[in-house]
Amino acid sequence: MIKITNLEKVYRTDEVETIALNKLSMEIKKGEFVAVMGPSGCGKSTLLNILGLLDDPDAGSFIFNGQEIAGFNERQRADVRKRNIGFVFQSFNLIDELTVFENVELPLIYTGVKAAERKQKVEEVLEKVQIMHRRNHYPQQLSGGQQQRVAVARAVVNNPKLILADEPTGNLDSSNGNEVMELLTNLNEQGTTIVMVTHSEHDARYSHRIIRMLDGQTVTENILV
Amino acid sequence: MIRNFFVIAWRNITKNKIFSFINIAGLGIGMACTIMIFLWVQYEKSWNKTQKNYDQVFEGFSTRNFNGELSTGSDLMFPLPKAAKENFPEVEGSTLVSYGENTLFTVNDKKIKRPTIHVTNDFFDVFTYEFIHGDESAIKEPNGIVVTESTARALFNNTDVIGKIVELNRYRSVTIRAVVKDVPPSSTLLFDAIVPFDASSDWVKQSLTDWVNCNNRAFFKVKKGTSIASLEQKLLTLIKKSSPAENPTTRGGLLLQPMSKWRLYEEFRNGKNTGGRIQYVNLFSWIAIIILIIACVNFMNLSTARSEKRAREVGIRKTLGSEKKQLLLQFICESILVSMLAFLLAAALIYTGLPFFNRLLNQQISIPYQSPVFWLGILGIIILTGIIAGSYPAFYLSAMKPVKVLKGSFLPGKQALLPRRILVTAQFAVSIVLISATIIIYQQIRHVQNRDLGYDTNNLIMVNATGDMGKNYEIMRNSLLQSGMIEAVNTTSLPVSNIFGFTSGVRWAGAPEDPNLIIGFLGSGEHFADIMKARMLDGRDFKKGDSNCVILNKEAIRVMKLKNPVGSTINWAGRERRITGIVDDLIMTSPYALPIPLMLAYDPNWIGSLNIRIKRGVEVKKALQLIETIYKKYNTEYPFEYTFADTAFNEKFANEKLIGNLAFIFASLAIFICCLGLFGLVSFSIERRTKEIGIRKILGASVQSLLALMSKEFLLLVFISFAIAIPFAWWLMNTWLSNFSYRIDIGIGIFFFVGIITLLICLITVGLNAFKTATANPVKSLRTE
Repeated sequence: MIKITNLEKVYRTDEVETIALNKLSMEIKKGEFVAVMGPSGCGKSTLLNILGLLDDPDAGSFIFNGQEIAGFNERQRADVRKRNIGFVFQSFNLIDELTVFENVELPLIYTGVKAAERKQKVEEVLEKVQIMHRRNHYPQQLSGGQQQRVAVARAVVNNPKLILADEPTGNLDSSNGNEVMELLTNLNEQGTTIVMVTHSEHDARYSHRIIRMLDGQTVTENILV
Repeated sequence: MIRNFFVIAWRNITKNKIFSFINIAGLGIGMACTIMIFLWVQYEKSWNKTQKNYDQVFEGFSTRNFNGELSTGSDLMFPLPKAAKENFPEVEGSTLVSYGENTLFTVNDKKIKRPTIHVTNDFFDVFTYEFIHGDESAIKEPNGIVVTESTARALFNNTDVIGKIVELNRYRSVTIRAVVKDVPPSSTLLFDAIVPFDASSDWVKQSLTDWVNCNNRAFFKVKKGTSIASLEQKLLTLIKKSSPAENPTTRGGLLLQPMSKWRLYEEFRNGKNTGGRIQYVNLFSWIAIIILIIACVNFMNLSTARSEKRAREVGIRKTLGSEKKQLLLQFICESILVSMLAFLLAAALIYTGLPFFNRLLNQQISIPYQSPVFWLGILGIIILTGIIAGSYPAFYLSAMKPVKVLKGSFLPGKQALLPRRILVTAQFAVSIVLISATIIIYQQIRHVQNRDLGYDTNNLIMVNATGDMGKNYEIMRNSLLQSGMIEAVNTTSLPVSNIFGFTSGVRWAGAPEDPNLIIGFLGSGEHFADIMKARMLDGRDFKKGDSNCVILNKEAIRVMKLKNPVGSTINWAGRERRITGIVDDLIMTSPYALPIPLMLAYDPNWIGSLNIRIKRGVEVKKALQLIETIYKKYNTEYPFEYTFADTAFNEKFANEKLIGNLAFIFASLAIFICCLGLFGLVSFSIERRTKEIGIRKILGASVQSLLALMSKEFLLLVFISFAIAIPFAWWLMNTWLSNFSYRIDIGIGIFFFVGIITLLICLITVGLNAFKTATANPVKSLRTE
């Protein structure tokens, strides 16, 4: 599904040049659940941003679903992104001014799904993450675990082929964290590819494979399954 | 999707109440100003549009050289319109119209005074009115008149009055031949009755062939497509050919002014049509738009300042697949929603403010609820305001990179800091210009109002004198003086509040062949200096039996270069006249102009105004009662009508006062909207710096030093705007003042004063916000982080 070769990304400010990705290569197959681990500043988030088409690599190749993505402009990337990729963030990133229902509905609006179909899909996915009873609440009225379940619901409502999760349990206590990990595992079992950045060895154990990174390169890979 | 946009927009508006209030209040006030000014402009442009020949009617103007200055006036000679129509096929119709007069209508015991115009019988070839009874042939009859609906009702209580006989000014019997609807107030020709010139009068008989004296206005209806320049030439040639000798009119130029320019382009300088009311209409249109832009700037500044809060939303939406285009649309929708809410406020402001605005402008502007163009205009203003206010924030916000904003490494609002500072500086610069302008206008008006006029306008009453006044003047005068309430009484040919008569016919020993002197004149009975409290510089005031005597003013002596004038003679209107005295200059025409040469001619029988000075300390109401009683005793025919000289004098400031008042209102609104914006920015900046302020306080900062810290940035901006605004304001107001010969010089003190006012207003605005934070318990502010 994803094949990256010799990917490079350098951040420059006036004085400092930071190499975030240094000729990184890897492959992720359809249906895999991959955990990316490593110390702060090793390039995990940069990798995730590039996989999520939020950021552009400086050099190298990135093939997504058989298509070369490097060099796409912003509009093309937005188009690929909204059809194929769902995001789960550490800080949930729900829009405070929208209700649970409206937050989950957003990706469907951007892909142009009709209102009736949207309603049906949103309700379905809210049932799945067991937050249907809170559909008309605003994010601030929910607990952290509930907010992250809404974020997961939003990430999957479009049936994306790939879910990118950036420390999804980072802001949660262990029981809420486990609940979210179960949810991701379920999704993976139904065929969704998942790439998750995490600091938690516990969470990483839910995955099939752990990629450990240091200074912009992969160091080891542990196959868990 | 649009629904979603409006939902989130609405929630954002209700969530951030202060920011929404600032935006809606500012934009609402700005819109109300703009819409009211545009209604005014519409009204001004609608003048005379009810005339069917609007595009074809022209008024003739002659430019003449007097005392070395070109002056343009609409007074033309009696035979010109008729001759023009007979000679030039492109003139389809023409008419001569008087300047308008107040005429006494008598029907049995009923007496009313109404404004009338006297016209030649081809009047309706040019002007069109809506007839209720009768038709255009009414004034073809020598003594047929046309009255308006309200005149008919006032005289007979109904409009079915054809054939009724009315007496005009107690000497001319006329028959009503037609009734027209009342003339809309937005008409140049305003009247309650149209009267044909009295063909039996000697004056009209003489005028028919008089190509020299110009006393009336000439109007021409011209065939479409006619070259106006060539017609003007033809008319001038006709005048030259018909006049018996050269005179200022034949030596001058002739100009045809189209009806569309009568209202707004009424000013002539050096023989050219230089504009007039249109300049103020344009000026205030711009000011209204600028106020709306100032409000839009508030919206921009507050939106970009708050972008930290919105940035995350932008990041999330982009991550979820939103394109930049969609985000742009979303933010524009949001600002249009704010703009709609602002319109609701504006509508309320207009509804309550329009009567006040009408009183101020002395107009009758109404809201054209029925007009689709009006509503389209409103819609246009709402959308345009939304787009202007929202476009910059929309581009700014939608350009944010999701990776950066979601990572939190991004400090939003920083990039917009410089534009924001520039915008705030510009806002304040405009306000400072407006405040300075207002103060300078008021200073100029006060300066002129305090001018030494050479006479005293206080306690001086001018009573319209007609009918039997001359016969009974002595008795009336004695009765008035005997009452003990009256200080002096005198008669003049016209009210003393202005000079209407000018002559070029004065000759004197030692004068050049063609002196080209235009001198104002006024007929007066005895005690002129007494009644006016004017200073005699030499010689004496008029006394009984002074026939063929004149008094000249200082300026007349100067331009005529007379030495030892008292006792010498001049020649005017075919008579030798002895100069009995020299009076100090009297400012009776424009209070802004330099003194004009003036001649007072003794004539106790030439009575247009009975002037009465009430003794100081006497109750004016009682004195008026006395005057009315005495007047009615000796003038049974005419109603008692009077004007106070000081009121008449103050009316000359109407235009400048209007400008001053409008400038004051606009300046106040502009500074208010600026302060709203400043308040918003300060509260935002303080919100962001709460933690910093807490830390500084813990480290020992005093309240004063914190206030200084928070005010510094904004006060610096105000200083910069001050530095930009002052030279511009100085230039602008000097240009305005150059319209007046009698004027103030702009002193540095005004700007010093404006600077202190602006600074105080800003300090209060910042202080209101900053003080609370500076005195708050630092532990609290740190805990909230």
